Amino acid sequence: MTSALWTHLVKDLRIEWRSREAINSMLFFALLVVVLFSLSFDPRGAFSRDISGGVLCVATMFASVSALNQAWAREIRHQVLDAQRMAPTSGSQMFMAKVLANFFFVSMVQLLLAPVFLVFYNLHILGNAWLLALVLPLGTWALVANGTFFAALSINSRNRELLLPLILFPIFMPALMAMVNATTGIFTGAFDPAVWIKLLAGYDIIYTTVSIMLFDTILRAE
Amino acid sequence: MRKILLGLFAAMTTVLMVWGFHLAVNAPAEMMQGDAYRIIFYHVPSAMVAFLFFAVSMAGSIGYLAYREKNPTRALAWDGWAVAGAEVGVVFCTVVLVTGPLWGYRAWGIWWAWDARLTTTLLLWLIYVSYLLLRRFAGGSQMRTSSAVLGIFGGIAVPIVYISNRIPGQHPGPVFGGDSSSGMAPEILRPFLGNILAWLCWGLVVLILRHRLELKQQAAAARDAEQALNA
Amino acid sequence: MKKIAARIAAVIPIALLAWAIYTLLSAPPEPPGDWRLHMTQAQHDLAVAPIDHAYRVAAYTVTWAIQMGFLAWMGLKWTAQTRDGSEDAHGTRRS
Repeated sequence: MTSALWTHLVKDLRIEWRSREAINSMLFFALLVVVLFSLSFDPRGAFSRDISGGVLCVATMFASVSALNQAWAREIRHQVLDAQRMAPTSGSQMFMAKVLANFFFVSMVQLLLAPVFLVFYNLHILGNAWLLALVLPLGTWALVANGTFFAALSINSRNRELLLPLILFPIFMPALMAMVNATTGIFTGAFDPAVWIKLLAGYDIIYTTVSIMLFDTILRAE
Repeated sequence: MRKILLGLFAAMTTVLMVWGFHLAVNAPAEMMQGDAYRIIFYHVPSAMVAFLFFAVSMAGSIGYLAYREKNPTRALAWDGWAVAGAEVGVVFCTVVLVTGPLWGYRAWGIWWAWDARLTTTLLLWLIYVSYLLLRRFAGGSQMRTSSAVLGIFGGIAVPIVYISNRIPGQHPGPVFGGDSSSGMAPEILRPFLGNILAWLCWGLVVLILRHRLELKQQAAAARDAEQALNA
Repeated sequence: MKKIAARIAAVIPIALLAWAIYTLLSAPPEPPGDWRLHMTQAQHDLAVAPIDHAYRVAAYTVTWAIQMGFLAWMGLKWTAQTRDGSEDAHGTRRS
């Protein structure tokens, strides 16, 4: 049963490894966003540590959207979705594979960007830095899972690229709040981020479950 | 028959609205706040109606998905409630978001605060506006299914946002003291409840009219499709 | 007849909105922050009352502007439906 998921996942990773276009564009876009934010909100200021969590999360968000817009482009070009509708496997396995692949790419970008970010903001993490290894993946998963789902949702819309952020960002806001509060708690060490991490985990579980349940509905919507 | 009933209901609603207005402007003066406190007679009922209609919209989305294959006609009716609930809900929510700051500025000196209630309301408004945008931009036959799915996602987000805002921490905001009928003086309670009833009836009239309009548009679209097919 | 009704329906919410903005802008200025040095509480309440009234009137007017605007929009859609519908019933296509 999981072989379909594995097949799709390996396919996505392999194609991306050969061209590396999504990762490169995401990386550069995220870097641009971090620089823009550093120019706009003074990183030398007294409150820079308070806002740095938010800046990191928003930079990740904008970077991911540039990749999510292209999430299903290959599948549309090569009629993969039609083939999937006729295949006996459930569409949700293809969906999960795509989410996992995108999650991997965005996490790569975050890992490469984090040192740059620490340098620009002169961050000394006052809280428990290892918790970042929990918070960032959870937040990224929320973004990527919802983003991939909504990218599939808006496939047949007129302004697909414009519509995706419009419908993704409002739904993503609870996760963004949790992620920003958790990272701020870790960076500043001022409060315990545990409750925000739990909220983020809850959000991930709920929305991933609903997405898996409803993916076949939108795949076979016609 | 139904038209007559709706007309009677609309007439009764108009009377209620006028009565509600009369009660509101003649409500006794409140100790700490001036005339501005009377904004709550329009602000709070609108919020209640907005939340109720967003729940109606989510129910409509679920109903549409449930009946989509078994009973297409009924599914379309449910989809009508989904879009009607969303649109009228957005209208009432806009009223809430505009009258709220006007009241807040006079009462507390601030236009906005990021506490649980305001953030949830703003987020609801954003989610359902994005729902309406999807309905406008999405193409063809998938539009109803896609928007029904988005409606469900949006409905789930609401309790999550509300809970996340109740967590004390980073951004304490001024607490909205004494909302609803907790500790409300009886002289203020009467105009308050009266206006809740009046706005609820008004909202229902508008919702039913919007649903009728949606059914008409669906019928027209089906007619056009049939003509195109037979042409 | 319907066109005139549609025009009136569109003008009312805009007029209400303009009236609300005018009411807000023409509210008297607030007493300065250090008013306790110049006036008693009673005088302050007297000075502030028209401002409160202006805000309430603006809030009510904006509410009605939004509600009427939505009704007007629905009315426009309704008449567009009826127009198209009745012409289809006669079998002629709208050109």
